[in-house]
Amino acid sequence: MQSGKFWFLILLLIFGSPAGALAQNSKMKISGFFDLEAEVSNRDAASRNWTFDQHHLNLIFNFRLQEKIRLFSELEWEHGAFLKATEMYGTIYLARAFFEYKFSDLLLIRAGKFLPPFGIYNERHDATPTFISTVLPFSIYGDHLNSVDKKGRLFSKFATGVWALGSLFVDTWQLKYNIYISNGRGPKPAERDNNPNKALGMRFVVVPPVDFLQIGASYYADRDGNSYDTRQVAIGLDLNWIWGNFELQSEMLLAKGERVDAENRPNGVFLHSRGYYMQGSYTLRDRWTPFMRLDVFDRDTRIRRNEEKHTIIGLNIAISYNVYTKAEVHFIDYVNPNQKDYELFIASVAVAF
Amino acid sequence: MRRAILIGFIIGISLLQFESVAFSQIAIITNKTCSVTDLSMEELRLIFLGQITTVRAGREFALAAYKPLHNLFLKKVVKMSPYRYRKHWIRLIFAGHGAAPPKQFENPKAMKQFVLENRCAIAFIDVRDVDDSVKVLKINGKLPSDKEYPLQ
Repeated sequence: MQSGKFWFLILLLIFGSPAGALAQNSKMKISGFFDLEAEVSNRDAASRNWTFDQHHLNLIFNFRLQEKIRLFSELEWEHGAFLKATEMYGTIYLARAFFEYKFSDLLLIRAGKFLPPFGIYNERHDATPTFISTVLPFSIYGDHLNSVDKKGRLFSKFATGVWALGSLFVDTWQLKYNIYISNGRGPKPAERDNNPNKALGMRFVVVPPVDFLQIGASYYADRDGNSYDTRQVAIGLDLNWIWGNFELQSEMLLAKGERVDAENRPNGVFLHSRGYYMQGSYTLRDRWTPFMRLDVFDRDTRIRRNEEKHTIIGLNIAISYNVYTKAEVHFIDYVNPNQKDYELFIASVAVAF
Repeated sequence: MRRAILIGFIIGISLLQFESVAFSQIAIITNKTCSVTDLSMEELRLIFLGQITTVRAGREFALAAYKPLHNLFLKKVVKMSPYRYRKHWIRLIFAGHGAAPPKQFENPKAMKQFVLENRCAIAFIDVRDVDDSVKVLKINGKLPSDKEYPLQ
């Protein structure tokens, strides 16, 4: 019954509400993406079974109220979400919902729930049609055990707060900036902050007068309410360069997370982690893009021989401008001989609409 | 005889095709009421990449592309293949960017109508389709009739 109501509301939102009517006047634009993955690995007995994963169906609503005012939202159905009183799997959630006021290209203010700009991908971290590979580089965007052994990203995937951004031109250089303040991570990050501390993040991108080269730096710090209010800091550096048909991309993440004492109180001792990747691709005839990525993560830089390394070789085929198929092999190697190496094969199709 | 006519027809079509490509000159047009009169090539490139979205006075650009000249425009101005260009806009949209990609037109009349309806529309069109209803912008200080016009 609850599920029925939910779908009714969603359909009402899309087709029946005043917003739907405005869509016909092109003030409201709806876009989104869909993907389906198939994977198999030799990690363990369960992974040896081929499996399909209807990973994402995201709907993006862009509603321009006035020339300078815009409302943006994104709804996500993940893993073939199914919600019924007797059976439940997958997830449905509001990934983003923010209001934007644009003073000019130099200053825009956004307020609401957003994907914090960290690194090259976090602002579109599920939009697989825009990725060369099916999965994002695990060293930067994967889930890792933090300083108190909680699993998650080393910076927040979502944020609720206020964000100032813009771009300025100095001679032939372009500088893009993003600065935001949010509740930070916690049990209810979009509603009630569990501590007085606020998360602070920023990202700067420099575009020099070299065709299609950009260099970025990101920063995120909060007291993580899901990790005993420990101080968690992440710094990222990134580079993207397109030279003819060749594209080079690289990112580095340095993170430090506070540990806790026997009574789970932050103790001022920090765990230092490091991740980086390098990715190269070459596009042939605007359609075929073979790629390779070397992706390395070291959870504790003070311990020797504990890195995890992913080497990915794959092919991205553009069926059209909106449809991409990918096939890739991941070789996962652990420097520590106590952990078992394994291989993973993923094939996927991603559609942008 | 039939073969000669057929060959002549094919050559003629090819020449026409060659002419339409070789002598196409791109004009950048806007609404007559828009305050913009002159753009540099770099500004034009950044506008069509969605990096500059407002006129100096703060009004948003509405972009339009003339499909028959689209690939030529991308090569000369944006320096991207159609594939990369489309992908660039998909990335912007999914990242939450507010600017809309250029609206595509195959009919110059429809495109000029779009320019008339949008105060700061920026569009590219074949110079032969320009008429008094729209304003032609200078690029690097040059009009299409000037010798050193960069979009010849």
